Amino acid sequence: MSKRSSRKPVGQSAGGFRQSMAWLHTWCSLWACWVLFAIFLTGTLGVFDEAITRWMKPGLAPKAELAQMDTDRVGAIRKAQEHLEQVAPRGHFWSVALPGKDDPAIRVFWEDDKEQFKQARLDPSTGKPVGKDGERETEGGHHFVHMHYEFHAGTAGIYLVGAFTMAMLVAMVSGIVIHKRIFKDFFTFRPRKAQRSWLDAHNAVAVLTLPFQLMIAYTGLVIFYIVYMPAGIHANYPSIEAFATEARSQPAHRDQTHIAAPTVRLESLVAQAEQRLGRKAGFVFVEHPGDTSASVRVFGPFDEGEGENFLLMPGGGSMTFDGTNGEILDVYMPRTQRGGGAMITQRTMSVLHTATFGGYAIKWLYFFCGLAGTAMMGSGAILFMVKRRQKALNEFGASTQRVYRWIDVLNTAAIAGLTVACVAYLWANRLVPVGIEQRAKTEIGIFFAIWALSVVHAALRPRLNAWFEQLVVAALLCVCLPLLNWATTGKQFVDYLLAEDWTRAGVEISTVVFGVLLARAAWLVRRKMSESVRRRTVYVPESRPAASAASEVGVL
Amino acid sequence: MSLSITAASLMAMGLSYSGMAGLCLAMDRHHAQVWGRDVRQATRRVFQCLGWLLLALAILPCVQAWGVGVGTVAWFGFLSVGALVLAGLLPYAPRFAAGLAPVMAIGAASGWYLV
Repeated sequence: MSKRSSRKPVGQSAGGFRQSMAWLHTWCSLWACWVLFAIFLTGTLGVFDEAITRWMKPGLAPKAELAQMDTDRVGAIRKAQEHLEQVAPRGHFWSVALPGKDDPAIRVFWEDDKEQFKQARLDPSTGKPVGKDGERETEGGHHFVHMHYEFHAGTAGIYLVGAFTMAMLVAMVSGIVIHKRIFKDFFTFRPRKAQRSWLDAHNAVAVLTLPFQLMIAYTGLVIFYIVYMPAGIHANYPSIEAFATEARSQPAHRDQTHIAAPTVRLESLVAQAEQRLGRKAGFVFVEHPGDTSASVRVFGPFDEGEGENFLLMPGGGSMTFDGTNGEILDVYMPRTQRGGGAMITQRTMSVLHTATFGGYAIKWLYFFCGLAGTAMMGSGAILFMVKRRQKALNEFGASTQRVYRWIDVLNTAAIAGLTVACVAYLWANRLVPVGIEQRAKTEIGIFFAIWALSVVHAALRPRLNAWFEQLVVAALLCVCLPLLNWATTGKQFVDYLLAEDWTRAGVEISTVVFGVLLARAAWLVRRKMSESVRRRTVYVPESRPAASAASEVGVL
Repeated sequence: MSLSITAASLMAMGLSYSGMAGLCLAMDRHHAQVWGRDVRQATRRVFQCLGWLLLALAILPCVQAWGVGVGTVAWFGFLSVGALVLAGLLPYAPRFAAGLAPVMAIGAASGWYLV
């Protein structure tokens, strides 16, 4: 590859510049497209993470019912504190999500003395941990969101996604430069014309949604500015906490003293905060419980509906107390914003990325534009090989055919294989027995296992067969999802529709629609297969090597 | 006047689809796709003006439903989706795609009277 690039003359004319940009677009995109496809598909599904979570927790009461439920929040925080004092008297932190529209149980999270993150769900009436058989333990739709920005790999994953996002920006800008007929071909899509159609499709989805694609890549990077560009902070502040304190105008972080001191009763603080903020408490965070440096922060609930007309959501407000004596350290009133212009700009961009504004219509717009982005990655990856099957360019010398074969395998597994894995994750949710240890992790493990299997399958089967089989499996899993749901929970989308449970019905109906589209794609591959067989038997003499025969056979 | 989000979405979608269709059918290639001949100069002007006008109008329901900030973002989204739907429909059903445009435009505009 590098040999090729050094041999290529870089001319002075616009043609030369365009040619080098074409080279950059091709090779920068090729190595990034598989990962970017995964980032885009999971991110697009992640737009509806809450709806997917609700589908994956079939026992959860409808949102409206939970929002109206008036639980004894003071009693709940007392029970949570009793539980936490038992399991982690001196942990690094405790946090408590009070019963609300997402979950009728009390959810407690803490870090034990070995800095291990732990969590439990407590029954709001007894304060005892809810048995694992009570509800399907699952990551729900958050799995897709985590895949989207960190591949379940923590900070390393965030760096990985950041690097690929940069590659995407390079590919988009170079793509605009090399697209000579950007306005002439603005609305052009010519189906059934092999390579022409793939290029048309690639151009159309990219150009027509260009503002979205540039915005989503850029704001994605801005969200993690602390991770991606830490140098300025480290040069000017002793720690990230010191920077955050100043940038967000919040009370200073208190370092752990390791001197024991009892933590105040949280119920009085919750009651105080509710009165001052004028809204129900949603979340309580205790830093360094049992230490003289303990602090308690009570958050008002974050209500998406409230901010429909704002890009920058009015905050839910919070109140911070000294954890040893209950003294008020800070009051952050709801519907106010803190921090300077830069912080507020960053926060707005993060909202712009996560589509947490404007309600369902905006979420659907993001979903369709996200699908267009996914199609841009997929069509680009396929186009690379379609071109080279017409005429091999021998970029890799003697091993060209082997590398091409691997690119084909990865294309199949990254596109069709990932689709199978995503819908298999929904199947795992219904089929993995309720109540087993590490159930949520098992579901995610199945997702990754299926994805890995799809690579093996694609490597073992001929190209078109691999595409066809994986697409058929994906289509069947999607279309049969209501059957599975009916067999395991006794309900499917018709029941949801009758109960006006739009979110669950929406998830299931959308999956079936995807199934139909995938079946159509499988059918197109099937047609291509029979055409190839015909052409192979008619035109290609038996003595010709298989590789050139394959390139003759043409395109997917 | 404020609009419900559903009504605003339908109206913005209709206006952006028909606006994109106006710009599209002002181009020889796509005009020929529907009517089998190149576009006349006068017709081209009319289609272009109508197209830009409808695209500009599409921001109104968005701003009415969401305010200027969110409304502008939504407008960009509807422009993209409107163009995508048109580009996807055109090669398969050119006459239908063209005929849909005035229906969508009139339907969207009457939204202001109905809602």
